[in-house]
Amino acid sequence: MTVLVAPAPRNRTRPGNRQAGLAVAHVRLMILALLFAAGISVIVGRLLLLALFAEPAAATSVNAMLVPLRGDLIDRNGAPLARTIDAWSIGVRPDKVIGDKAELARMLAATLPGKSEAEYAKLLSSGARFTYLQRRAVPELVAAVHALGEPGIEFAREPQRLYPQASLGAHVLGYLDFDGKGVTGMELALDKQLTDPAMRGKPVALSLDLRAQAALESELSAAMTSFTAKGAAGVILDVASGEVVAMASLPTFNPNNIKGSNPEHFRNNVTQSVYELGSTFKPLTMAFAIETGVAPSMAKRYDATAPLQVGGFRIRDDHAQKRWLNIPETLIHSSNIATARIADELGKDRMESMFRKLGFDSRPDIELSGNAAPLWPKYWARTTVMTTAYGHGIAVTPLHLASAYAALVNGGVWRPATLRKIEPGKAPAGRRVISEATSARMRQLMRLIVTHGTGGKADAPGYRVGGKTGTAEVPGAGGYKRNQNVSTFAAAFPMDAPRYVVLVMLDSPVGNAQTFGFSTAGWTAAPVVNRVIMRTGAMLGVVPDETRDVNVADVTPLLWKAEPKNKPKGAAVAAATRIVAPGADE
Amino acid sequence: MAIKALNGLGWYAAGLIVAPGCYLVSSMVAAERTRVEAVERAIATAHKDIRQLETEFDTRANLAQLERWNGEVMRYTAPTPQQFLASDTALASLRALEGDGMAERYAAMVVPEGVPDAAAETPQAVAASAVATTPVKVAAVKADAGKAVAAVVTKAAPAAAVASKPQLAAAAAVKPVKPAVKTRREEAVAMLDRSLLKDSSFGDLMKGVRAEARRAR
Repeated sequence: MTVLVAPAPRNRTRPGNRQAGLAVAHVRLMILALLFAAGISVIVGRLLLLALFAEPAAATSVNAMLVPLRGDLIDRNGAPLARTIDAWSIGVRPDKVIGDKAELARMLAATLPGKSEAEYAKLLSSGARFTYLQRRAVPELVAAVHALGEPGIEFAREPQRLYPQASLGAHVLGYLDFDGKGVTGMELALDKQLTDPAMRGKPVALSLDLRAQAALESELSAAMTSFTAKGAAGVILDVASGEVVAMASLPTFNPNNIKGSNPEHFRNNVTQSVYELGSTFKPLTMAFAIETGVAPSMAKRYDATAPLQVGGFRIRDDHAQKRWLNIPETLIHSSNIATARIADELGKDRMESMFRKLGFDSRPDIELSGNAAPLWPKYWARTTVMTTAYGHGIAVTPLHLASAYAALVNGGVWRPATLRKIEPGKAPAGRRVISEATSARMRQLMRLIVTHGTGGKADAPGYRVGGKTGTAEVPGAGGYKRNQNVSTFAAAFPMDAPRYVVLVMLDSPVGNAQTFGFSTAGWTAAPVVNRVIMRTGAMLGVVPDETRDVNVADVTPLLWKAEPKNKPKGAAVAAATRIVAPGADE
Repeated sequence: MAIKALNGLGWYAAGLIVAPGCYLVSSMVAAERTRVEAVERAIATAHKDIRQLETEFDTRANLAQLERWNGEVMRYTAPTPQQFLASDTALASLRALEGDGMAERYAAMVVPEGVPDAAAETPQAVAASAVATTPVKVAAVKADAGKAVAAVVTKAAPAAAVASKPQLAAAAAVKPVKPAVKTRREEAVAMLDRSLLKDSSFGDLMKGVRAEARRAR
């Protein structure tokens, strides 16, 4: 064997060195092996870790697809009130437009008629990096703009808040700003819950009943139109739980199109405006009088023969009876004089404390923001006590009054109003304002006002409505305005076992031919309550029954003329000959 | 000795056969899992579509719009107390078309209908009408198709209102016979089908159906 390449003999390692070199090689090999082992163990460890603890990536993404960016709002029956959808938006990057800009502006003006050609031309030459042409565009529009073939125009799907019922319940729902934050209403009140990633997958149920809300709003707006009123407000309240079943304020706005709405219409007249609500306060005064023993018997009579002069103040009656009136008659004829006398007997302390118990001294209890503070009298003079008894000199929101009426008829327990759905049996305990017996008496009296008194037009057949009219003059510069009033009708039904309070208020209605020029509540607000109850009563679970009613037998003998205005059958005799075909005349 | 050598080969062969087998199983599992995921994703997409369509339907058939249609065409009324019967006895003794009280029944009639257009001048009504026509601009709808939707919905609504109370025998039969004189409105109701299934809109529908069928194939 020929050694071709052999190290020079002098370089050959000697046997002793060879041994040492082997040891060094072994050590190096060992270090290398250890390094490899460490590397492998790191990889294996990581794999194990992944296998044991890592979440499968796909599972979360599939679920995430179904969770909206902002939670839904639904009504008490599950109908959607607000949803977040993926809507198309069309935008343009003027610096990327490659076609003729003037031509593009012309075509845009033809496809997107929101702006003129000149405006589009200005927008395209403005030098802005990106501008929205249209948010919330319909697919047809997107296709049409796409057909223009301009690469500078971009289309994207963006999450947008949609209110399927448009302006229905707009004041309750509120709206979002450009960044998707709640600005007013429940969108603001529930902002945290709706955007919380853990909770937004579950829709939030409000206490509203969409059908009742629709009926209330349509009746209110019909009345507002026919009486050319400045505004209107209405609320339906569950007396047992304080849930607001419907709340409407007119004029309203469309939360889908905030930019096109009049900002003045954002005011919620039910919670953000205070009014002197007039005679609707009389049942409250009467309840205080019965509760405190000032009026021990329904037959106790008060002098209403002549206007009452207190200091420089004169209290008159609108429907002057010029005789002594007992308690039911005072309410039926809505006598200011008799009510003032009762309040005088009650005195300052009791009146004030009772109003405080009903929460009339603080902002209304509800989730909405921006609630108005009542105009609470600074000093309770004798005249103040007397005028507040019939709703002048104290201004509260309509919601205050609705809650107070709920307390009057539900057995005497005041509960805060709420817009969150309350599960049956979970109603708040509330606070007792009047006794059970007083409440029962108030039901009788309120029913009598409708069957025998000023509220006759609110008597929805079969629903046993009870309530009180209130026509208060609007305070203006230099005293009350004679020709403008706030007409309110506060009602509860069915009176034998009250379920709901319905309150309707019209701001400055003008009498028309149907009301023979009257603009008082009995002619304007009461018919609205009637129609609202007719339309919603059955839906809300109240079975109309003309054979049932609250027993008023112990009170009717006290009435001077005990003839009910709305006789259940008597009215039919006159009209029996004329059968009206459906749709012939409404 | 030879067996020992074969033993090693056997192990090798076993590894060669079993390892790909194992890999095959795991890859099949992975494939199946991917398919399941794809189905899940398809379900999620379908849910999303359902939500989208539901929203669109609700928006088109919003209550203000339904009420307007009811006022114009359907003329359904709010139920009157006589239409609710408290018990079986009441149902048995029901004489729908006899006796007085007929006029009363009609006098109490409340037809939900939108606010009249005459009010369009007032600022409030402007907002309202802006709502009612196309509240949100989700795809403009052909008027005919929209009406069909509304008709179905309004028809269902009163029935649902009654059906929700099983203890009440809903006296649907109470509705008295209509007088023979045909008003224009009644004719409009009678001709409703014609306007809904006009040739043009029907043709559009069928075109859409065919297009969809082709795509599905």
